[in-house]
Amino acid sequence: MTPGAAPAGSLCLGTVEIERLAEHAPGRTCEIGVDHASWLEHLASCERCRQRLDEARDDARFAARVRSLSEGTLGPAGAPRIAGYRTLDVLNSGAQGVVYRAVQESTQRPVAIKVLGSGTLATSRQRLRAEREAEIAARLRHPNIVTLFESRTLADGRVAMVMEYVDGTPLDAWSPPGNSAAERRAALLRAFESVCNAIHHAHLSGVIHRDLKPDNILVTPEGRPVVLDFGIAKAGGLHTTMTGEFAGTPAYASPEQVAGRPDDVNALTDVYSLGVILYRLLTGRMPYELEGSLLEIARSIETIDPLPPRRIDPSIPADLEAIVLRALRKTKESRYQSAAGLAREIDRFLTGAPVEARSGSGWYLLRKAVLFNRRRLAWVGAAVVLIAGAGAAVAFSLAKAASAARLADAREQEAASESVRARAVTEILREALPNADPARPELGRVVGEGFGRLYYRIEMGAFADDPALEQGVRRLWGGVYAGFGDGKAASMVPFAEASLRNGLIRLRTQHAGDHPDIASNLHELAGVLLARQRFDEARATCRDAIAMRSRLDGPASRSVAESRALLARILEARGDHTDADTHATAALELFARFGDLSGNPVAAAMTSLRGRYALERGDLDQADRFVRAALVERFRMLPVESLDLRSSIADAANLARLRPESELGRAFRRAWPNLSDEALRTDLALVGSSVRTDWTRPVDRGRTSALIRILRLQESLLGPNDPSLVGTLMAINLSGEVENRSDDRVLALERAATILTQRFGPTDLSVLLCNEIRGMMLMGLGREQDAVALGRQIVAYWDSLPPRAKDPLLAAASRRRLGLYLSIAEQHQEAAEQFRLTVQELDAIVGERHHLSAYARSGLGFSLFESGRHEEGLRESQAAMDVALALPTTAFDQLQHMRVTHGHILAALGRHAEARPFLLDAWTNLYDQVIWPRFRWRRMLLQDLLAGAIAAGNTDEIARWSAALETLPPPASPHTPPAPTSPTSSPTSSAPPTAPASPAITQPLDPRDVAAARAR
Amino acid sequence: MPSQEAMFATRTTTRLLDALHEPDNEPAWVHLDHRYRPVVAGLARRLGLSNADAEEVAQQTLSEFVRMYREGRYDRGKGRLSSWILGIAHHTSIRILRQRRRESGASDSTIAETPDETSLRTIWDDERDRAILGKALSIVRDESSVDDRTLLAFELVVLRGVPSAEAARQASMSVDQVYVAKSRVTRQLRGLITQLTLAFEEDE
Repeated sequence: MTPGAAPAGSLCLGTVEIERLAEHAPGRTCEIGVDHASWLEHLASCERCRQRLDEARDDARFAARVRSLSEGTLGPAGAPRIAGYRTLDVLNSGAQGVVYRAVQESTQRPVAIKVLGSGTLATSRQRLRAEREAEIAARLRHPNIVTLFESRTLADGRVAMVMEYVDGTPLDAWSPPGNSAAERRAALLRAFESVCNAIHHAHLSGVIHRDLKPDNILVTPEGRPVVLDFGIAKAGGLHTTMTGEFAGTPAYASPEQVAGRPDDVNALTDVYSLGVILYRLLTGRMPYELEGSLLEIARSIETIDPLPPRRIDPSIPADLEAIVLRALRKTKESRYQSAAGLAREIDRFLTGAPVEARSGSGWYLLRKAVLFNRRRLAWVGAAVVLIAGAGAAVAFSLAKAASAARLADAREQEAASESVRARAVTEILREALPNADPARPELGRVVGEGFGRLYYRIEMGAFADDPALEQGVRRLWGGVYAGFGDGKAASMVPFAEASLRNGLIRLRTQHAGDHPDIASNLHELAGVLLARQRFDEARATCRDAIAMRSRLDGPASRSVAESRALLARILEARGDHTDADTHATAALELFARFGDLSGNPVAAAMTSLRGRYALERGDLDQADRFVRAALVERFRMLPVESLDLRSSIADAANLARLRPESELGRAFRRAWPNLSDEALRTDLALVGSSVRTDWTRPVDRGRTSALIRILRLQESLLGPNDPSLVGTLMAINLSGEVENRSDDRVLALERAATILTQRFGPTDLSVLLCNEIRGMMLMGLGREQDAVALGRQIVAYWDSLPPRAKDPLLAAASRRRLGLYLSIAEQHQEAAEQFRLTVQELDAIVGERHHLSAYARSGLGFSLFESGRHEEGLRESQAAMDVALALPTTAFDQLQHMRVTHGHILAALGRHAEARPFLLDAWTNLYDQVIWPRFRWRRMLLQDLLAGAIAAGNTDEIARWSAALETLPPPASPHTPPAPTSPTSSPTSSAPPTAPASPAITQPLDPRDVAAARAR
Repeated sequence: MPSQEAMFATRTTTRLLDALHEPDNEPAWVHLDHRYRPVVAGLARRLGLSNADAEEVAQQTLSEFVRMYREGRYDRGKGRLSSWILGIAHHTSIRILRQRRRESGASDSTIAETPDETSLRTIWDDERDRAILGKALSIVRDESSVDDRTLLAFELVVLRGVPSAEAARQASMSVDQVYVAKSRVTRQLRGLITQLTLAFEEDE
């Protein structure tokens, strides 16, 4: 027997005994009780068990340390301590977490803080998921969605969300205004309609609420409904037990939620919940019996049809009943396909139009209309990202639509994969495109950073609970980077490769053998390897992809076509020309069979490849056919800076040189009269470089001229009215801004507006936006009257629409811009009128305490003041300033603008001491960072600062501001404008400009060429 | 059989740092990043930055670190690796804090005082421990053969301090089984934490 071991006959203690003993402090083991005396006896003589007991006690200290790491930030009351906020009291406490009322220390503004989670130190994956949901929710900006200011993770892993404090009544307890039951019902329905639109807005951003119920919808005293708890239900993670069962309130849950089919949960689930809410609002009851066990309730939801509302209340109109019942259909496909669809139905009902629910048809048309819209808007393109102010949200969604149209439309499969792909694209674009920050238009750099962030999020498991989405994002790496041009791609390619390889490892553990996702990953990986010039590996990987896809889908399938196309590119890079051509031919045949030849960038690449080989072989006829076809396709699909398009131009130029009398030859000669290798190469290089936006450095001269020559070429090949010209015209505008070619810009945008109007009609959104850009451009050039005229036109258009047919925020933004133009043109009375109308409109949409209203109100104040109504002007400006400073959502540039005008008012009244902080802040923010060197009111700002310095007798500052004033160019004499042009006039009718503009932009083409182009 | 991730997690910092010099060794960089990113982000959050900004700080800090390391600017004679990264993280956080204050219109004077050297170190160590703990927990959760109920019992008793009897009720097991669960998982966790901490500290 070994020394220290227990005496014979007594066994060593088990884990349980040791643990029990460890629970008691040393020396107090006597508390354990007489039954356990034998343990103590054993301990006294067993060295080993004593050691184990020490370890177990040490475990207790370890546990305490772990708990302290988790709970470090809990205050004595259990309320969270979050930097910058002071928690007051508990508003509400529920299954998901606790809501506190708090105050933001810096502004004393009331907020609500919702803390999710139960304090368990969640896995980094879960925590990341919660944070991701919170961040997505924070990006939702809508007057009917509670504004989420920020989210923080507490030390214990819980997520705290700081939100707008909404003082309101739950929707089902609200008494709508009205003198009769019908009026009250109408008011209720209007409120419900706003909610539907808000939900739809969230869906467009990829956020599904998942837990809609009347408690989550509060109506403010002004009658504005606000939806709470977006994305929170999932972020909290508390609705699922450890084994993932659905454990929330089933009352408003959809059939697919209760059936435990989480993969089926998507935006339509929210639509269903909205239907239940509507049912309840109309009848006061729930559509199903809620008695019984969870199982019985779930079965009701899944199988039993709701009682028709008219049986409960016969005064409910039949149309309304039809709407509700349709929203509650069991199968997702038969409900409304979007929350906006439901909103529109409600609107139709209220205005007396026939409702779709009763016609039994419709959603195919709706889908088609949406797709059709997206394609058209693609032409306005990336230039739109630069629209500042209220239009920013629109700009972002347009750019999103444009890119999504390019990427998603190109390879449309079934509806299921479409939605995943659309979500994946949204995810990528959300990281890659800045939130329309006008101070950072350098897309390239931001794109690179954004993709880096996205890569790390994927690898850290941010999408781990949504494998379809994760796979979707991974699969788009290859295609997406190609769309952004080669310079940006370089920084992203290592991410793409690592991400795809990681994806493959994961997929292979899930699926043994062939699987379409594995094949897709291989395909994308081959593309990335090609970009990294590892041709042998790329070829092998691509062959694997082809083989797997052939096995899965058959050798004549679309997926195989794509992969063979990629193989063709790889072989071309390796120099295996004949093989490349074979695969390219096969791919093209397959594309043709599927009707997928046009609008398909891959097909264009194959056509281009075949063209190059035909040229090599000396078969000039074939070469001409292919090269021209590829070039035309690429002009239609790609922005002019893209590498693919430029290389097609280069190919075509080669051909043009060999056959100067062919169509291509003539087209090129028209654009480049002395076509030389050198000239063309320089032009293409200039076009490919990104537009410099750093105002202090010298610019590349010649980019605008290069673009104009390309425009010429484009016209010759596609005709003078092809919408794809708009993209190039927009590029000319951007380039012309840097190179100071104002007349070219004016004509380019005018022509763009003309083309869009001719093709899509004067009331199309793309025309409107084009005109907005024109207005701002004209204003920037000092052509104030032209800008005003255009602004009036736009506002007149909005005014001509019935109230329900227009986007109220866009309309208000247009009116505000008109006010701004009038104000700059010193027509202050009219400016004040327009601002006043804007303020009224915005107050009705978003409420007074909103940064958009504040900005408009500040314009109102300034105009009133300048037109002599000093008191009123000061009052409005002050009110606006107060609101804007209190809200964190006010845009940076707008806030500075407001400081300038408010400071001006105070200075003009002689209140220099008060004016000073505003003016100084504006100066520092605007000019230290060189963001707005051509800021309109620079002179005014400096003059006000100077006046203040003089009044204070501050000689240093007097010198400083005087010096700054001297460096300004003298005030421009008002530009004598040509007769105001309307966008519907033909390009040649504008008055001759004062400086020679390039004739290329507007000179009519040779009629024979026009006819030839049309005949194609 | 530990996963690839678990294996990488315990590779010492030195070997990973060496691997960084290989231009194509992205996986090495990824795993170094996995190790330090949560610590830097945690530090930034403790300094008052929002989640999004903390992620930004982590991104910028790590990029700067790798760049400097590749340029050969890190010299072990100058001090501990963690101090170096801590320094970069600190000044990056301050810079972004200042930027945010400027953007929201507040003047510079409202920037809160930043903690001193010692407190910074403490915060860093805390965040490091927290990151290690989180990592160890996730390995236990996702990769060990521990079943759900055992894990639940452990979480209740150790992480939330729930009394054993109550934990037994919630996890549908006997009190004795709770004790076994607690002991077993704690042992596993502590082993992992020791390994992971060693890897962190080896280079210090």
